Amino acid sequence: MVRKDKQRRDLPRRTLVNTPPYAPISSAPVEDARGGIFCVGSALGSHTPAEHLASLIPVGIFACDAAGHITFFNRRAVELWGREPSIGKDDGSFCGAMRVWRLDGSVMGRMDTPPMQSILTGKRFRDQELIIERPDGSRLACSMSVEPQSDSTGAVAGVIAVIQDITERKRAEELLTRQADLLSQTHDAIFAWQWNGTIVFWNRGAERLYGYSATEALGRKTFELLKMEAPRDFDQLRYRLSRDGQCMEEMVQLARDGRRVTVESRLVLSRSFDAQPVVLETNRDISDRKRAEEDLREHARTLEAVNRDNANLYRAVQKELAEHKAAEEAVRQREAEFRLLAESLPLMVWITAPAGELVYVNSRWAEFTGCDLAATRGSGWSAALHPDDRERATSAWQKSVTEGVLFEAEYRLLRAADQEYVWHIARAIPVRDDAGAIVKWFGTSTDIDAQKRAEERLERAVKERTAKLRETVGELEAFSYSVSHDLRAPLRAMYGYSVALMEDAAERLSANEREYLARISRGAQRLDRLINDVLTYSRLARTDVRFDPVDLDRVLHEILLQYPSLQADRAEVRVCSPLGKVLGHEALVVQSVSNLMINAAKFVRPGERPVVTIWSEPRDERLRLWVQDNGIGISPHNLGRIFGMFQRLNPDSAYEGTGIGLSIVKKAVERMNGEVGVESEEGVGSKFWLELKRL
Amino acid sequence: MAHEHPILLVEDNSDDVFFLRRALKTKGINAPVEVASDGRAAMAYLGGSGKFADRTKHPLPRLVLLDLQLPYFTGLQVLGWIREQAALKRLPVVIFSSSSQARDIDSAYALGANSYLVKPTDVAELGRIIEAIRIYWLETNHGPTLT
Repeated sequence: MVRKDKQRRDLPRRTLVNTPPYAPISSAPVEDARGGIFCVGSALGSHTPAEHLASLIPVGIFACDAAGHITFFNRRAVELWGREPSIGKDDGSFCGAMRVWRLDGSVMGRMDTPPMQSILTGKRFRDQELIIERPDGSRLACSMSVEPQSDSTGAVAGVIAVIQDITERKRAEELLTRQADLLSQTHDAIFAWQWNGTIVFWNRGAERLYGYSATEALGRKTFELLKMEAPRDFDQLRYRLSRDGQCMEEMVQLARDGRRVTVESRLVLSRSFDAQPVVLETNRDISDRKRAEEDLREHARTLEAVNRDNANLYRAVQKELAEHKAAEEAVRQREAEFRLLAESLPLMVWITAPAGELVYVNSRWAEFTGCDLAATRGSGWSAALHPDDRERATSAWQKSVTEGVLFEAEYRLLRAADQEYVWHIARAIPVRDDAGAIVKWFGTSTDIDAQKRAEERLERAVKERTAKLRETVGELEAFSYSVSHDLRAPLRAMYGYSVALMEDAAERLSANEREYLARISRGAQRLDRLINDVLTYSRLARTDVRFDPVDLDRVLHEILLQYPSLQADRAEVRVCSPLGKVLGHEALVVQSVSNLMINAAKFVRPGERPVVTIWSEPRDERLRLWVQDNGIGISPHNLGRIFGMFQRLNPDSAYEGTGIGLSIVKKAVERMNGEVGVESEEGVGSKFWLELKRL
Repeated sequence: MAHEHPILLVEDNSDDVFFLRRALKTKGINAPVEVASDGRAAMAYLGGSGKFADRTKHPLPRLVLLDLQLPYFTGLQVLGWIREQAALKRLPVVIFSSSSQARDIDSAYALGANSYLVKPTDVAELGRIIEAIRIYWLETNHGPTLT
């Protein structure tokens, strides 16, 4: 039951309150004649200071006994409940209210209400928020605090509860939350800071724009966090805010990632609830617009530069025109300069008319020949030439004049001073007008005597040296011939006598003596082969190599006929015909191939029959001839030196040889611009090859 | 008694003379062997001058084995001289030289050599050559008339 406010306001003094310690209330509250009086049994009719106080307090107060029955309430509580509870008995209310709800909208059972919970558990409650439903169905958001009261035994005897209307606060909070949500949702960066710059609010837009989360930003100083570049003066900004209450500013700030952000900023000064000044800053990112503006400015600067260049060009053209006017004067000047140059040059300069008559000679010509222009015209320029060169030079000059082509001739000119002839080279070019007609000839004669004489000396020297070289080559040939004859003759004798002695006296000689003789003959034979090979090798270097088609099959055929060691009784030679043709010097090819084959047949293990296989294969421009054996092979570390001079890889006693055979092959093939090589596996055999140009 | 036409060795090297003689004997050539140890001596013998004037004692050889490297006159000079002599121009001359150079071989044939043999280094090879000479020049070949 709701009382009229007017009536209630008239009754403050009659509101009763228990004085602690809590006394059990024996009587029900009684409504007095003026209505609206709430009272407690024992204190009924009397107005204690506590009752006055309770009626003055703008919060609802009530008390319950251990059974949860209301034993006391004040006027404000009745207002909040919208009804008046019965004192000291169960009136079906929830601690005074018609119904109670939780904030989430669920119904709170009677036993769940804070006073009942406090009675049951002895706990106290502070600012428990709940919703009270009045008999008319309206609801109030309330906050309830409950204090349990104990009796002398320590058991809960009842509770005192305070109930407060928080509906307004709740509404305001909701509004604020909604507003904050709105702020957060806006695209602009919105944040608030206290007068000293400390950030107290930071919306989503600010998070997006600056990259700092609200947690990171709150509590920081705005000008420090955002490293404000403009405006620099924070105090100036605050001064304007305090003077005008708001301002607009273009600011340049730094985002977390170092990005420079230009914002259009609106700042509004307001007061917080505690009267402290708070600045709300709303920033719109205008960086893109700024960049576009900067681009525009750059464009403008470029345009300006172009304009400047055009102006320069214009001035240059003006200048050029002015210079052109001076050109005619310059032509006259140049003419004079030409004469000065022509006169000072260390060579003869002359100019003739189109048909060849002299019109100008420089002073050097006159000095050298002793004839000035007039005298030269009179006798003709060819008079100064050596008689042997005159015909050649004049006809060349005539040819140039007739055909209009460059004139060039070397001739000897008579020097007037000492009557010596000096070599010169003369050159003349036709000078033509715009129509292409020759207007004059411009010529020079340069002293090339020193070069000419040097050339002659060189030629002479070359001839002399060539002759000398031929002589030396001839001497060398004579030398090698005499070596072959004179050195080999005594060797043959040594060998021959030892053989003769063996034949004639073998039965009279001891085994030792016969061995000595055998050694003498072997030594002689070896030395003979050595001389032979050295001669062959040295002859290779001198031989004039002629390149002819060489039929390798024929070469093989000849070799097989010639060498005893390649005969069927001593070796098996397999030739994979046809081998083809190469370009080379036949004698050298025979020499190289036979050396390779004899080598192949030689280096076999004792008692083994040599098998020599020969085949060829084209390799690009060349033909490669392979000579394979089944011999002892070559160890890898010896492969490199196998073609070297006097390289013997095996002891003398095992295999006869001079160590020159492969050097001869290499030399011969190289003289024919070919190549040699070897692949080998020790104990298996070797594969030698030579390559010559294929036909 | 008329002497048999000998074989004339023109050879300055006494060793070679020894081996030739030995090989000739070994290979069963019983013809007498005359030796001229230089070009001049060869020309004297063949021209019948001096101590060789008596052709009965020193008859013309049926075969000349001519070395090329000789004192006074070279073998080629001797050969050239032989071909200029009316009495000697048909005389069979076999060059027996240590040179196997084409220049020498070609010159020898150009001057009218009947054969060109290269002195072998091997004694056995020498025997083979001498045997070939016997078979071909002494037993197979029909020589010209010698006066």
